[in-house]
Amino acid sequence: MDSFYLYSGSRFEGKQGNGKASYPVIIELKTVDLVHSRFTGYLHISGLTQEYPQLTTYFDGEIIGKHFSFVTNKWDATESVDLEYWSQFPEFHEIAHRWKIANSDDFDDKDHLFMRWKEDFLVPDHRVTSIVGASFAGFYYMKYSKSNGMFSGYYYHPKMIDKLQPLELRYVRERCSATFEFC
Amino acid sequence: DVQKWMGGELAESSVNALGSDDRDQCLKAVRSIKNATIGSNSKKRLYTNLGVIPKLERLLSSGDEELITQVVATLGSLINGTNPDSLKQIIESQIPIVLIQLLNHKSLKMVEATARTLKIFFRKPNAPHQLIFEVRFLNHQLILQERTLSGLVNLIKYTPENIAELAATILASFYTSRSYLEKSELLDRMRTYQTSLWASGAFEASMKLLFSNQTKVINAKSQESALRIVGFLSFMNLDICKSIAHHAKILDALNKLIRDSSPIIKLLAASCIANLSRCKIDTIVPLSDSATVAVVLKLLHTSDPEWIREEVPAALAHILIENEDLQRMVVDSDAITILISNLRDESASPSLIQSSLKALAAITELLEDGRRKVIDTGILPTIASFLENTSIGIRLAACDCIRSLSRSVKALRTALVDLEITPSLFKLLDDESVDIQTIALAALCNVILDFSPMKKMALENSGIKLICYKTSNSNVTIRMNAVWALKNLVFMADEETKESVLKELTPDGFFRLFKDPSEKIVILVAKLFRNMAFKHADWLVQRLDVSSIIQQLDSLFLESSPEILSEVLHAINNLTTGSDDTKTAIMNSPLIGKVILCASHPSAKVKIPIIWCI
Repeated sequence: MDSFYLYSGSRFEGKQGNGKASYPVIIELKTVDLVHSRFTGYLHISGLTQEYPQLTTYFDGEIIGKHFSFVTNKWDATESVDLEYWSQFPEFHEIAHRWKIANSDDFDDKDHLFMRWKEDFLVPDHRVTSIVGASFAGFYYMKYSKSNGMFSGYYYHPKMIDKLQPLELRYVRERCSATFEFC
Repeated sequence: DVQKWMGGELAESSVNALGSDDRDQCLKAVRSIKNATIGSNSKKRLYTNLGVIPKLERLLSSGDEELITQVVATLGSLINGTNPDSLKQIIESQIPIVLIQLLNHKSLKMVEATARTLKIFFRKPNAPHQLIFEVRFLNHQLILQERTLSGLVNLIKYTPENIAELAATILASFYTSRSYLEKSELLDRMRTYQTSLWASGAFEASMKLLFSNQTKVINAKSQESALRIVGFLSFMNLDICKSIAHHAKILDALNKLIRDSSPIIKLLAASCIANLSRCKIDTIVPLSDSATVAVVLKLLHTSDPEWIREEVPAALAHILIENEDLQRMVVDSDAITILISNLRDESASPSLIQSSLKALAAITELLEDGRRKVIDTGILPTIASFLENTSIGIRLAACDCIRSLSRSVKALRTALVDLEITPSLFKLLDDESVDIQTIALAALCNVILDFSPMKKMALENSGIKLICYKTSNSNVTIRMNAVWALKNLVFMADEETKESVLKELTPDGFFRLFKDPSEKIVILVAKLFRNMAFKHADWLVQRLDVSSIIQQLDSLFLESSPEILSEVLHAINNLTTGSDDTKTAIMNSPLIGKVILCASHPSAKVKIPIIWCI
């Protein structure tokens, strides 16, 4: 039942940022592949810049465990950054002492999963590589609660002044469901 | 110039002499034509244009052994060149059948000459290999006897090594020629051939070749042919693999041969081992999968002999089929780099291109990392250009690559959209090759997904009409892929798109899809229905008439598999999200009783949708 809220087409809404500098966010999952610990989706954020009052990016999700380590080792994130961000989640402390060797067994009977989300390109035009006033060069450290489909986490960018920008999302209840598979 | 003119005159007189009543003149002419054409493509062309082939054909029924032997050798020379006309004329004549009959001749000298020529003939990709399975020998009383297949096998078993090797190569050529056919949907065809080949005793004959004491040169060629035969027999055929695995001798032989110094023997032995391993029978396969793949990966760097470069990627592709671990191993190696450079090599032969494309399609089949690695090399435009190649094999392999790559949201939104691939894929829906139609349709299934920017283009230009039309194709895989495409098309789609589909299918046509004899297709139709009902329950109910819907869904509850039940339950759930009227109609129908019954179904697949219903 881990995947009850995680499926193609599931949506989550919430906000990124704090107080005045907070922006509505909706994510839509596109593909969910728990076997390979990956998923993809779109992230819509409103009001971030004048040029793009509605901004949508495609992102890759990596679920920590069997295939991905807590140690990021890319995207300009050092181990100390990793520790700093993962430690923001109270659930991380149980596993902190062996964080570098954690695997999927560590999450099987827990209510949470840890993930990283990395935005890759703009939707609809992937050729646009930079936007004034917004950047998607960083990535998110995220936690997901299996029981209620809530995401919470923090955006990290090495050059960001405003560190630990929070992102919180909850599952948008849907009464109906659709299906697709790649052929 | 004079010489050319004189050559032309001489040629003409030789060809004319073929019709002479004087036997010695005739024989002299045949010999002279044979000698002239050996090693000269221009002479082969010249004589063919002078009409030599029908005249030679007539001489085949002369009954004169010496004459016939020379004619056969001459035909071999004409086939063995680059002139497509000579080959075409021979294929369209009775010559292949007559030659096959000659394999049964009592004179071994004749048999050897014929086998030599047939070996050259069947090496050509467009030679009619099915003749090996269809033609029967006529014995001396002109009574239909054993099939050619058995005849060839007997030649392997009972004749001297030089003839045995030729017969084995003819048999083996069947495998190499049809190498583009082994997509899993086409295995049925292959299985028929494998069964006949096995029944003819080809495996035992191959064992004989692998273990006999022969002269070194013949031994190498015999081993190669024997391994090709065993490789063909064992490819994705569990029953045959089980039988083969009982022969400990063959496993020992394969273990030894994969360490042979000859690259082609190594490669063929590796393929056989991989085939056996795939069947997962309780036998100790000589080598682990990863060790086998390591051997093949190393061979990717070999170019001695030059032609082995063409065979290694295709062999690799076969080994990787549906095996994620091995695909991962290959993704992590330098294989992709080598294959890409093959595609970029201007002097690459069509076989090398086809083989490399096949391998890339296999490597990117299951893993996103593989797809991204390939796309990052920038090779995509080159692959797309191969979609219009004149060779069926190349078009098919290129299409398969695109299909593998299209299984990625990122690829669909970036590299593939830049390629503007949609029109090419639609064009391939009408390709002369049914296999290509099938794969192009599969790629389109992915291209028209909700998150693909190419969806819009696909819907314009009568894309929906084309796909709907394919849902009534006589080929089950095409029908399946067409329904799959529709299902993906309407996934999270707006009402306008769904209406376009329904308009094309018509309500009757839609319900007819549920009656497809293939269960796999019925599951897809149920999914299509579910997607149609998603967020548009009222619209669907109004278009299809609620009692027809209820009747159809009700009928699916009878003895249906968990897969179908699961989709039906989801569909019912989606229908209840409509207006009160719609909801009431569904709730008051027999469907609800069936839903409740499903709550106690043993399969989890069925129980999960129930939770949605609640």
